[in-house]
Amino acid sequence: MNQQEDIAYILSRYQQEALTEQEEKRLEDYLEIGLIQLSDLPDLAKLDAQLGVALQEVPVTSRPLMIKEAQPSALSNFLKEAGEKLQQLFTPAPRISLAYTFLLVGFGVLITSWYFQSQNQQEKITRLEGELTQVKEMMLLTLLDKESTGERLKAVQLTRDMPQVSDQIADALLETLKQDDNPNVRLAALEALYPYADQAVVREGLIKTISYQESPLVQWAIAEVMVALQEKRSVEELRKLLSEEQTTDEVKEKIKSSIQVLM
Amino acid sequence: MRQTLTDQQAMQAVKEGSMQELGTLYQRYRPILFSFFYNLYRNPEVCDDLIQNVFERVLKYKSRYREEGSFKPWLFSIARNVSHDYYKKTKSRKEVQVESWEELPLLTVGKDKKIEQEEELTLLRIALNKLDLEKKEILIMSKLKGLPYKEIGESLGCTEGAVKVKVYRALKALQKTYQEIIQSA
Repeated sequence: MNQQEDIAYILSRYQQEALTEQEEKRLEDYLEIGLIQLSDLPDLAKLDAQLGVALQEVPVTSRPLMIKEAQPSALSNFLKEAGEKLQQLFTPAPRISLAYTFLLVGFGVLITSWYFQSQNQQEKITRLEGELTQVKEMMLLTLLDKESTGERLKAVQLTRDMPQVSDQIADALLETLKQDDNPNVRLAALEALYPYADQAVVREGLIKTISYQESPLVQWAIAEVMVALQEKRSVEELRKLLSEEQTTDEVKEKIKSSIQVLM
Repeated sequence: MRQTLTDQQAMQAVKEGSMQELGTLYQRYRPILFSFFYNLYRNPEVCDDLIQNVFERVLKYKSRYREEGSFKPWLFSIARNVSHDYYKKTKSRKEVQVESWEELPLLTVGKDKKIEQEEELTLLRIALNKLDLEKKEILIMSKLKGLPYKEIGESLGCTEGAVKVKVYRALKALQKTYQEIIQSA
């Protein structure tokens, strides 16, 4: 039997659903070298076409690349841009007209001046602020536990405008910085913790999280934070990152220059 | 006007430190990667996370990209690794959202043709989800627009011919699973 005859034989055995193991192997060999095509196997060709239709339905979403689009330089610029990107993603600025803005500001001023007319009102505000902070803290802890990356990012942003963070919140954010699966959430946690670095629990915690970082972005950012804080105690942890084989060359250079500044 | 860079040129720029060109590649390949991950995991948020991971690895392993090689297969080999890592991490937590047996439509005769076709497609997606990850991937990749068998082969480290055989085997498995589902519906 020549090759053409064999191919015809194999195809007819295929149609009869009677291929032996050896015949199946020959069919696969012919497929591999292009002498049999999928179109020669009508049932599979039809299934393949149906599959193409079944897989076409894909939702449309958009998310920007959460990697800074320029080399990070000063810490404030880096974290500011990261923060702006996160803010754009989750709290899009409403389009408020200028007149409406002045109206809101004016209204705010009136309300504020009315509130500050009496000491009792002042006490109420302090209590309300305390309660609001407590609610924010509870929300933060709840959202940090969520599977959804978006919710964990929202959680981290809740520290905005908090004058300080409790030990519980600091621990939760530090844990996020150490363990979160998503490097963008870790970056957001680092940004959230930075303003509270004057609190000992935060500063010491930041140092301890250094060796837990694998993402080049987070490694870079944390080196910058240590330089900004002039935290000499971080040198030992930075050296550990330097000795890791997986640390990229660019990050190694960054860490070396950071250590030089700190020493 | 800024000339559009080819993938190789953009990747070369990334190797030299340009994060902006990384963004260019992201914009260019996000749709096809989204399609790939969505058809595997059916969760848009997971897809976005996985795409971010892919580009983090593109940055991390940029030194391994060879200029003479095509970018797309290299990108897809990274995407498959990201997918495998995610699958390993989540299969015990059953995070992967799949259309379940409980969602099987009742196949009745005499239904509107369009509804019948929709139901068949749903069953086909259920059958696809029941395949092992390797077969699922090869079928999804084979249906992605702009990813020919030759490039699939490059990302898998095999020949174009070998891809044809893999697709054939995966389609056979899909056919078998699909028929089982139909019989039990």
